[in-house]
Amino acid sequence: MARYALRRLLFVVPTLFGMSILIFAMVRLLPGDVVDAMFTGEAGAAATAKQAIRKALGLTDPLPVQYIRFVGGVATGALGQSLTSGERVSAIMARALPITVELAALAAVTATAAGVPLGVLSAVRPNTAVDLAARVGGLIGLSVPNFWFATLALLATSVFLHWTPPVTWIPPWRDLPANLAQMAIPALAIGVYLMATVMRMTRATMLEVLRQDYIRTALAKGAASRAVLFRHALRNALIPVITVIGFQVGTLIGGATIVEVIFGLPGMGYTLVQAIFARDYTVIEVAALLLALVFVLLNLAVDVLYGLLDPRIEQA
Amino acid sequence: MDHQLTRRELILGAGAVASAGLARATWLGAAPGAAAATAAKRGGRVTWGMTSDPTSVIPFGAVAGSNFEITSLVYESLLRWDRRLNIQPALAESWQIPDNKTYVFKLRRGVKFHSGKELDSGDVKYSLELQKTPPPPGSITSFYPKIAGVTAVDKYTVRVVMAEPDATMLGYLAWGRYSAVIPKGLYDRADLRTHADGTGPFRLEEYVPNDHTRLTRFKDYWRPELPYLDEITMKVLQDEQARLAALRSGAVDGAQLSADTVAGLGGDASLQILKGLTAVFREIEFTIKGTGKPWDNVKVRQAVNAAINRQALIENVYGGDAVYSSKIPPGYGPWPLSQDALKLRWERYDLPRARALMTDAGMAGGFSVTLQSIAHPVDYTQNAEVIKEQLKLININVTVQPLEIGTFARNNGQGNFEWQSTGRGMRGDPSGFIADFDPNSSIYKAWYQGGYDNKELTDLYFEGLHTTDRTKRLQIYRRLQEIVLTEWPALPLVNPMIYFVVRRRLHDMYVAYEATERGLVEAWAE
Repeated sequence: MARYALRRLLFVVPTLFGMSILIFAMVRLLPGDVVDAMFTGEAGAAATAKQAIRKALGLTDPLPVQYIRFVGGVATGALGQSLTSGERVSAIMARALPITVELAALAAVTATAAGVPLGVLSAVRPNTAVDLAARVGGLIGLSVPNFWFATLALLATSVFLHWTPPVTWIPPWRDLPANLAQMAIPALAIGVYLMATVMRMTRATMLEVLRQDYIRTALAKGAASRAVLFRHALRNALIPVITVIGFQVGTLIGGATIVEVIFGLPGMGYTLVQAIFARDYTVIEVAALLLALVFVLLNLAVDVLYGLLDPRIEQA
Repeated sequence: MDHQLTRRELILGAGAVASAGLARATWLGAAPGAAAATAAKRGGRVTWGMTSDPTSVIPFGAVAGSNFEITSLVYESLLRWDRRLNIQPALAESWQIPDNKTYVFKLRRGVKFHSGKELDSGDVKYSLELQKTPPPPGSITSFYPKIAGVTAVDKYTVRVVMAEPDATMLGYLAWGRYSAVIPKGLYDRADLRTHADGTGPFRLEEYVPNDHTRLTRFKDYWRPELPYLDEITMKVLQDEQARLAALRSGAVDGAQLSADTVAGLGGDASLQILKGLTAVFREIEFTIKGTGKPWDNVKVRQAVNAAINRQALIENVYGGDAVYSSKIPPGYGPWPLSQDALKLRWERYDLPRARALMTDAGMAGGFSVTLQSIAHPVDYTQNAEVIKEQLKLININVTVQPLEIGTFARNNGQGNFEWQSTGRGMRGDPSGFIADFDPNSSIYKAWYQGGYDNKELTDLYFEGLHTTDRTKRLQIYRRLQEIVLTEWPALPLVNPMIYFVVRRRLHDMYVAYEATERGLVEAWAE
């Protein structure tokens, strides 16, 4: 198992290397640079002043030099400074990452906690009212865009309850209940899609597993139906579900962006979007690479977990 | 509250923008239904929803306008504007202009910085000198006056000598955007991206980038009656619906909202709508570089102007809440041409005349042109679309190309466009609105060089810069605008209102012309 994990871990390096080239190239292909965005043509800056800023920011160096500076910085942990605010990029990431991770974690936990039982219930009681409600709910969950849900939830609570989540972010280590109250709606908004996916996936795989011979055998041997359901059926049915959750959590982190903007939560997505508008290259590059790293590591974790749940995979 | 100009201040040369602005009172921070009769109360906390992050709270050279929303509450300059852009004393209690290259400022005694240090001439000298080349991430501004030297004559007297006569000095100081006064040596002691030490009514407690800024009342502020509020949290809420929801729930006490959202507020009794003009008038820019384009011909530009129905723009795009704009925008003190002059003469909609001008120019058959517009906010593109329809009538086939701001800005700076639908911004001095025609400016080089020039325009522009006599300046800027509105090297369209929506508990707030929340200095909460 350890060798398998290590082998997979080694693949992370070339993946990230490829990502770094892609991110760097894409960012530089965007028309307009940070200095253009700073001035938006309106501050009456002389072209020479603009050029002086570009030089001071190192933007006049050849692109390969800039790329090596970026990758070198990442390798040595010297991530540089924001081109617009001058703040250290590491400090920006340290502030933004916990927010997005918490948001994604809450969304994933909520989605799993609700989606798996609903899927199981739906599978063991097919074509009942519960099943029908879960399936229709699942379809709605899949179809509703998260920004629509988020905006509607925000407006609905403000109009009917005269309440919206506190506007400035409250770290969980300072006031956990207030933090959870603040994060509940945003987490739900980005978790609804995953909840629906998990529910449908659990239902489909449970239905399939419940038809397997070994389930019939277990029941024929007189095993308690609860034990069959949870020990034999659910454990096997969960393998694809875990894969889906793993992949989706990565997407959640990316998909949290618009919800972060709506709720004014200064997480990774929000920071990245701001940086893109401002063409703040150093922040964009590090933030995008960090998101890529999280995504890759999550996939790795899923693969390892997969191996643990089904030892046959390791040999493959 | 705002001081009225005293006779002495007038004699001393104060009041670059004088009381002629009174006539425009309804445009400048008038709050319909504001309960002026209620006595102001001290205390209370207020949360304000900002539309974008300040990026940093540096005192000098910040390019982001949102930076000034914070620094205008924390820092001050030698002079300040009142609500109507009359120049008032601030850290300088008086000033003299002994000759057209010298300004002498007498500092107010006993003014304290937030750190407790007393303001003296050394701080002013340090600040004025550092503003010329602001430390990073600040950048050099073209608005910096032509200061040759600053002398601290004694503890409370500062003499500023200009390299050449430069009438932009007082406006530069009063605007405050690039002219804060900070304690001597502060840049060596503190990280001013996230920390501050000003003399302003509020002290900076914390700035959390992309999230919020917390300010508290400065108890030793030199105007002892101000401010009323104990604490202000400036929260960044970019999403308009989020600002609206937070306003309705009471999570924020005020925020800027767009005309469309304001129109949908209906009869929400808990909210009050404040509106006012800013200097961000909308304009169509042309590149006239002698490239043989149809609009190199002045008659074609005159035809375009006559074919544009600005009233239709005002009604269709701004719901009626906008006014005609000259090259100096309405609301900017006594400097712009009057609304009547614009409507009846310079910007009169006259389709037959437009057609005749096109025929005279040999362009009766029309031409095709691409009009780039800023994609967001949407009104730039909406303006472009309405104009496209209007210009069809004189056979000009306009293709509207909405662009994301970064791309738009790059094209704008490089002159890489045919026409652009854009918005302009605040200036400390009226000359700033004409500066595009300074042959040395980067804008002139990018848009006009080799194609458009007018000697009278250029000469008058420099004369305006060198003249400190206000009456003469008024004449110069009137004539400058008339030239622009005759030859149309740029085509000012309209100036829309902006809206601050506040909860009823917040009183005496107003929309400042330079689009900051400096009204919070005089506002109070129940």
